[in-house]
Amino acid sequence: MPMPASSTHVQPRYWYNPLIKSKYSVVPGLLAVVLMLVPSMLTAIGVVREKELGSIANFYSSPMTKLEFLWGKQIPYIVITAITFIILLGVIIFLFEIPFKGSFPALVSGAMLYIVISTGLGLLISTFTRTQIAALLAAFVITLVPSFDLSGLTSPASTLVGGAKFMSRIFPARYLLNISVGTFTKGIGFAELVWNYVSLIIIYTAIQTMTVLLLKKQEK
Amino acid sequence: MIRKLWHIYRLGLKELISFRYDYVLVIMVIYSFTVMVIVPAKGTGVQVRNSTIAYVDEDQSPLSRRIIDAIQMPFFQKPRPITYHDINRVMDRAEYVFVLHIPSGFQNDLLAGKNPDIRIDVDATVVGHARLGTTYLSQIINQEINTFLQGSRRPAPPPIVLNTRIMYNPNNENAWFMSIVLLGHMITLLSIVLPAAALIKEKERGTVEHLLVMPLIPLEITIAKVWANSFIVLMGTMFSLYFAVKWVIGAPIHGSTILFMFGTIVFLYATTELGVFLATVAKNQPQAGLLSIPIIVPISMLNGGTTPIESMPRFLQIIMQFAPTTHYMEFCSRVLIRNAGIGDVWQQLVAMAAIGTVLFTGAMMRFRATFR
Repeated sequence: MPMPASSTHVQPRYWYNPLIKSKYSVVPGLLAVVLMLVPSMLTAIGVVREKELGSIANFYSSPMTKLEFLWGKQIPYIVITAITFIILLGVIIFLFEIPFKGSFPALVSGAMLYIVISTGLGLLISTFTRTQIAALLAAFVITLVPSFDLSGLTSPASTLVGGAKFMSRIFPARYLLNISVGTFTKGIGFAELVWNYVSLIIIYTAIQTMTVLLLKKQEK
Repeated sequence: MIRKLWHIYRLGLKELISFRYDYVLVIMVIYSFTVMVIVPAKGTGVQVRNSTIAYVDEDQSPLSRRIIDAIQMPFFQKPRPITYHDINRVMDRAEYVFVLHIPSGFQNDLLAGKNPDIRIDVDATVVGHARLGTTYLSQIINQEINTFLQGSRRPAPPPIVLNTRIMYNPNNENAWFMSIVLLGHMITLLSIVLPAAALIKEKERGTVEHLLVMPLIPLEITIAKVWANSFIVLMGTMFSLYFAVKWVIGAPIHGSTILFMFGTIVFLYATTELGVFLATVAKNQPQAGLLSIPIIVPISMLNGGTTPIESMPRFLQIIMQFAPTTHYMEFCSRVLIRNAGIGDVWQQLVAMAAIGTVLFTGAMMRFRATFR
């Protein structure tokens, strides 16, 4: 267009991040990637390992229920990831010097919910894979692209189209990204972010239901 | 020598057979070469496209409607009306990237020469769109205002007319290039993870001892794993190039497919050796998985596909010269998009081969130390 970019009729106001520095949205946004990739993969391999090495026979032969087995496998990974999350918070605030402006309980509860989902996704992957290679690859393929490209980290989630829009909506990363960037940089809390928590809870319920349905108490 | 090649061939076949029977693994490989290339390539973009915008029209004049109508695809979605009190809420909830606020009496003030302003509220946490999108919006708005002020009179022709010619991708089609970038990501991921996991599996189950007491040398075992997994990835790549990139996305691939295949083999030599090296460091699958994340993610994300290498900090540019993915991305964009011949890409090929050889030597040294 031949018109000059500067203008006398337009006055932009840059909200939340007046200098438009990418670190204020990318660094908190990366929480959604890190808290997805590592826990889902570790949990998936953790269970499939038992299948491949044979120790899952203990579960098949014991009177343990499915849920006991699943939660017993999941809880250690939740604890490990929660510790990682605390370390990450320190890194974001002190190393990258991103000021925290919003509601801290809102971020922590969102992140905890997200960790339960990402480890739960790992359990779901472990129900349909038999080898550790397959579990490793499945966890990678299922989480890598959606958490980087479809979460809003590279292009805003509201601008996605077609299949990408659909995948972005059913994958939890965009909701944690909203919570994380919202609480860190936008300085908001539960009231504005409520739909993100609702979405995360729906996703968790779906994942948990699928896992219980797919987990076989006895190997065929 | 012939015997050794025979061993390598047979061991590789054994690898391919065990791959075939792991249905989930096969499905995941197919999934990554199709869905994971097509969906993000079609639906996402690195430039401002399809951005979300809302407006508060307090003026309700012909001019304000003209301005709003002028905001169109492909840069912006259709603007949605909201009220002044909604601005805060929609910004907080990240529903819109831009909110246009046309004050009441805008058209009258403009005609009276009062120079009124339209306010654009920009969600600056959406860094990719904030600055460039605002520039586009300003251009659109100012152009509308100027045509409105001048009425039907045509403005005097500017003294110099810039004639832009966009090479290789005249419509700025984002999906074409993105699909190649994503294909590169998938090749990187699979060619590192598959051989690493295949080797660790032997280590973990103790079958590597079986192999080592046989009259086989570590070199043969490794090369067998590498060729078998490279074969899988190469087949997937060619399938993806024809099916996903050419057929579904419709990217015009001008370059030589043979040269692309050759370059991919050189790249696979480097990445599969990286996988082997990883397998010699990790003790079990969870470790291999964990180790591969901090390797695969940076070398894929910083390969120059989404952010040009030239716009990275200097030290990162230097570091990325040691990553095979950087050279592969450059190779792909030259061969597939710009139809380069081997004379234009020999530097990339040599660099990838050199990186591969260093990793190969390192992996062999580690292999003896850890597997024996």
